[in-house]
Amino acid sequence: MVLQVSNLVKKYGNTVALRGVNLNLPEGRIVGLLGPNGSGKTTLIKILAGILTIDGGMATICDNEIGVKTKALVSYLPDKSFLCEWMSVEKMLNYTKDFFPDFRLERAMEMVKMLGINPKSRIKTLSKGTKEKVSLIIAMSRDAKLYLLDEPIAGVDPAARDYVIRTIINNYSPNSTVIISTHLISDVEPILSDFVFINNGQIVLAGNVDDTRIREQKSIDHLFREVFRC
Amino acid sequence: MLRKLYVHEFKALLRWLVFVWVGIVAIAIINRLMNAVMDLYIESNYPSGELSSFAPHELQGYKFLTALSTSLTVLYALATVAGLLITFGLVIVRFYKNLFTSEGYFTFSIPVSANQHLWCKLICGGVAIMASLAVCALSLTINFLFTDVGKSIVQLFYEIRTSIKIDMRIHLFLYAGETILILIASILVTNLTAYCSISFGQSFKNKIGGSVISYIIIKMILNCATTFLTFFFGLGGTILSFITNLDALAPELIIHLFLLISLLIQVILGAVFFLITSIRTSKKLNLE
Repeated sequence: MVLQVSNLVKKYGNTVALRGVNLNLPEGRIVGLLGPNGSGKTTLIKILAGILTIDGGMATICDNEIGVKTKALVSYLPDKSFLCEWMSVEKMLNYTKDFFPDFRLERAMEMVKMLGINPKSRIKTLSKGTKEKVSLIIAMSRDAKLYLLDEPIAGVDPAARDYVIRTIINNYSPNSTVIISTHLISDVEPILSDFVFINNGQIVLAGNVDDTRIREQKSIDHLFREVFRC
Repeated sequence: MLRKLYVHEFKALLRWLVFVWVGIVAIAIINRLMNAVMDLYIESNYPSGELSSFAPHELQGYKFLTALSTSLTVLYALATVAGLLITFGLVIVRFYKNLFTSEGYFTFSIPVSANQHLWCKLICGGVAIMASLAVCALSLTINFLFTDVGKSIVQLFYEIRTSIKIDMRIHLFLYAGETILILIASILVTNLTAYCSISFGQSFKNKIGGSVISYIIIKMILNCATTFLTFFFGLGGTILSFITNLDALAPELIIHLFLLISLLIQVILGAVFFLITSIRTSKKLNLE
């Protein structure tokens, strides 16, 4: 198992963001973490990325408790730009290479040039969409065991969404697991192998995408709309 | 990994500090040249040195150069102070931006603990401020070396050294060492106070406003504690001197005691602020 989560609890003051989440994911899966706004998707991803600490329960990645060791195994793409605005694209890639030995610098440079981005240009001069593409390139150019992509296609145009989906498919390793958190299900559904529905900090439903489609005779997007109908 | 963390931290600070240091040294050189020009002008135009014997219209050049020289000296003094303030500001802004803004997502995903990040920021920030102090010292040397003022200062140190007994020189050397340690500790504690304030400020909606308020509150608490401790040690010292006949101690040892207690206080304060910042950064991190 790449990921094992048991009775995970996270509180922000009096607000309980995660209430006893249980989740086990083997390697080689592309998992959609799907839920409405405020359901706990980002909190769960941040905990797995080592950004937030646990208030209860346990989570391990490749049998390691969340900490310094798991950060080396995880490639995290947050829902906000993490790029250092004052650096050039090339410097940012080299900066990443310095801290993550599994970062494939040549591959990342190739993808940046394919997008027509000048590697010497400063990150603050790039458009929002281009910054998000560079962030995705950095995340997917790592040879990680677990990729955590938090809302990778929110706020980008449809053409850019296709680029994001293609980049994920072309760059993830079959020995790794990808967790994509999103509420734009129809765009990511074609690439998902598994799904997890989360609401109010609890897992509501989880399963294999193909098996669920056959059993329920509907797409995961339709199932989501039914389960989370207002 | 840690070496790279420190290298990147120094590079991030140096990209601005180099300009600050070059600016301070440049203004010091210009100030020194201006003073040399003044001296040459007076020597060549007023060889007797008696300016009062000249008519006002004959002193126009002198007055202009004096005004220019004074302005440059004031500018140099302001640049030195500004340089130190800018260095401190850069260290604090770097800490805030790299850990508590969106850059923090990348920073905290690096396979390094929160404590290691803190140590890196503290050491690199401390070295940056000490380097700025060294540049200021260099600029003072540029301004006063081989001048009458500089020669007087060197003469004063020589006279102090020759008038002091040999056994006292050892104590003076130790005093200097202890004072330098206190200076280093004070710089680190000043940085840690700001870091601690920022770690509290991230809990507010307006992080910068929250950091400023936290800094003010921390400073108020420290001032109250200092007042209490001064009274306590003053009273306690008096009681202790009655009990143990502290006055029998040689004055040079009492000075050591005073300096070491000051150093200990700085170390304790630093440890407390580091611990608080570490807990807030690792367990209460808020990057939203």
